[in-house]
Amino acid sequence: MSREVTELEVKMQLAEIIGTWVAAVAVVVGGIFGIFQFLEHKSALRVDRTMAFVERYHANNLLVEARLKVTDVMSRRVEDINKVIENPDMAPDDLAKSFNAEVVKIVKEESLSGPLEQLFTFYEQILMCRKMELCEAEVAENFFDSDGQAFLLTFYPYICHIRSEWHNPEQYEKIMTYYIGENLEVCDENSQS
Amino acid sequence: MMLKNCTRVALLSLTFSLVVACNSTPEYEEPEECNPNGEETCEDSGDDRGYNPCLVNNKLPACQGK
Repeated sequence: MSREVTELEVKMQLAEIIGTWVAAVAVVVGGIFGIFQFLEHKSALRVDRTMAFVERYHANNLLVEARLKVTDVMSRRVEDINKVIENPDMAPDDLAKSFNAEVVKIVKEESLSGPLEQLFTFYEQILMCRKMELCEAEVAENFFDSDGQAFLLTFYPYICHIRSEWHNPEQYEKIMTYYIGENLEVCDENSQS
Repeated sequence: MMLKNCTRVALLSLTFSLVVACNSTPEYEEPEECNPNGEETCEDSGDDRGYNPCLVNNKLPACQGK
């Protein structure tokens, strides 16, 4: 009888130890899983904020009008720009000056400054959202970067122009740094046009 | 002994409720990339690439940092 009681006690102690360990492991695994889910939830919020920008890009009246106006002007004036920059004999400095002058001329003739400033500001806001980690960088990159880069590479001379006119060398610095790169001296020779 | 059993049950219940609560977090799907060969057009993806002067002449100073 005394031997049976001892075996029972050993089994009880063993069960108790195993149960405690199982509970401890469950709490740790549950905690890690909870943290993982929390991070995923934060990421989902960032995606939602980024998609709100995408919605604005396609549905906000001012932005859509601005984009349509820029597209319309480009479809009519792209030949003028190409004529200037297709010259193979032109030195890079002259090329930059001619390109800058042509772009600024088109912006003035077609009254594009308003639409361009709308779009520059929009791209700046997205970059700020990404920098503050409020937006999902990968989603924003896929939706906006190819558009934004082509847009900035075309119209950066106008940014150089307003930097010069407004005496503000940091105007639209975020988009210039992000889309044109560290090659910020592009404005040095272009800002006087 | 009774106290230990109660603690174990409480721990397991807490873990279970944590797992169930976390599973209620909504998941999102990665946006599908536009497939140019597919039947759907790419118009609505926001990926409407515009004019890029670097493709016409990459000697422009702004194209050098790319």
